[in-house]
Amino acid sequence: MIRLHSVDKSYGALKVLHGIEAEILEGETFAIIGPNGAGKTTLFKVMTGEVGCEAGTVEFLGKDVTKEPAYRRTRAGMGRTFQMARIFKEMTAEENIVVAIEARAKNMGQRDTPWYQVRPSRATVDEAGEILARLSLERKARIAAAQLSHGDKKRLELGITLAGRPKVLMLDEPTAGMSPSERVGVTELIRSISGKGSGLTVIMTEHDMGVIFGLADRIMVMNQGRKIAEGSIDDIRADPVVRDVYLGKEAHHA
Amino acid sequence: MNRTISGALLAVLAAALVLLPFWANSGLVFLAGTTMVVAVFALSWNLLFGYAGLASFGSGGLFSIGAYTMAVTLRGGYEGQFLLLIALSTAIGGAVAFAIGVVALRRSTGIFLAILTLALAELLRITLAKIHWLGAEDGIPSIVRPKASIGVATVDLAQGNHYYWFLCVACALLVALCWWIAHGRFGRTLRTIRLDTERAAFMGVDTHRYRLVAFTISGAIAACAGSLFAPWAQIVTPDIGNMMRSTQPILFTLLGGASSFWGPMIGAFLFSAIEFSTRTLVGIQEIITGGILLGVVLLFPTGVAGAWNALVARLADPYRAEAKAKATTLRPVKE
Repeated sequence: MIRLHSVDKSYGALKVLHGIEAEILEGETFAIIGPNGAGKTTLFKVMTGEVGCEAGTVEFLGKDVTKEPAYRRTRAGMGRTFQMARIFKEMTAEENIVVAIEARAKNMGQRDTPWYQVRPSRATVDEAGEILARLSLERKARIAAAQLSHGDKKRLELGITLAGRPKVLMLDEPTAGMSPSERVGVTELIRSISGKGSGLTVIMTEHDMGVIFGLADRIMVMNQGRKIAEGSIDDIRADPVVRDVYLGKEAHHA
Repeated sequence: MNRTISGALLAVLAAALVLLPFWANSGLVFLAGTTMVVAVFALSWNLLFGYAGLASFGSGGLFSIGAYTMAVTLRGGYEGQFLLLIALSTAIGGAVAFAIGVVALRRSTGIFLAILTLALAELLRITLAKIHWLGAEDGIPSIVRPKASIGVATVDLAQGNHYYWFLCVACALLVALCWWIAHGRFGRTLRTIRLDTERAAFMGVDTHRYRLVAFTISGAIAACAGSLFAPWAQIVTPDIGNMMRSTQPILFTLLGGASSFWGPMIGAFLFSAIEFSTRTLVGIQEIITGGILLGVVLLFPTGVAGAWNALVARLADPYRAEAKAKATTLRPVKE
């Protein structure tokens, strides 16, 4: 699905990624963990095309996309959410989803609205309604996105991303800043979206070990810009290096 | 409810404008015609600012290009093809905006774009003032109002108030065009770019291309407004596109409300009304105009359009309006 080959990235003199190698397989849920400043979000940005990398290549669906801008990678099937939910605050929740559906429809060449029509088509509005219902936001469809609670904003952002019908869903800390009960809700939601039948690949960074262990098929551990381990949940739990750097403290909470 | 009252008001104002020559003197009619043109000009600017999030400080340059194109072609004896000349001016404005956009929008969008467009407009004005073929500082005077023919029907726009009514129709069509652009899928996508460019890119939107198209459309409409203005004023000078012209849409939008489609138009007419009613107060006119502008910006951050919508909502349903006002201080104005 996505293959990273010896990716290097620096911000000025600070080198934040050192020769990262990784391959994310179709249909799996792949988690990237590590302490703050380990380079998780930067790795995310390199994969999605927000930032370039000095060396190495990023392959998506067997194609080298290292030089492709973010919008093209999105069109090819990447969908991402941000640590701090990025939504269109002045628009209603429904409008947020509608614009995302319209953008996707245009990119995929599906055009059902006559050129002179100003309002979004029936099909678009219906689809927006379905997506909102899936996120349990249907009753807040007419509310300005700025007025939503933190958890609802993150759900709405997930909705914007899902409206693009991505092949790979990239979630940057999907439960950051949420209450424990909201976390359980979002974990359930992600599981229902990325269930075995869906064929959806998920890549996520996350601090909460409970969420990670509940969702991930494979885990990659980063520290100081390097990959220090990769494997199944059990492998990672058993890895002595990982225990030292990261899980040592966290394992008690999990 | 809100929509009905606002729509009714719009219809009344439009009717008053159309019937104006029957009761007002020629000075007032001239002012009304000028205001209609600059209102459309302001709308074209806000298409860029309020929807694409790009602030141009050089829109006067494009207005000037439209006006000069019309003046030169009319002087050249092409007055028989008046509608074609408007189309030509519009196309040239669009082409120039496109060329500027290709170069400027790739790197700069914020303050750099503002300064760059300001500089280009000034450059154009100074250049126009040096070209003798275009009358240099004196510009091109005595522009004729031509005949307009659509199919079989021909209207002599030089007669009486014919050109005024022609302006009414042309401006109404341009407003309708802007409304359609702003409210359709294209306008919605532009809004997402203004609200969060990166998020829009992650919906697969080629943000650079959308901005370029918006810049081109805005420039074309500004030039179209300029081309309509030349036969109305019957003279064009380099100052037709000076800095005052470029700041006009900005002031109108501030006064009327940037987050409303109608804001710039409301601002344009209010501004004219204020200037007209204070025209005899030589010396303090600017102070009054500036004071009102300052007051509106401080009291109603969403402009007159925002205050109006809040008022109508309150009259229509006091309880809901109050709850709404509390809940949605940062909401955009509903058009």
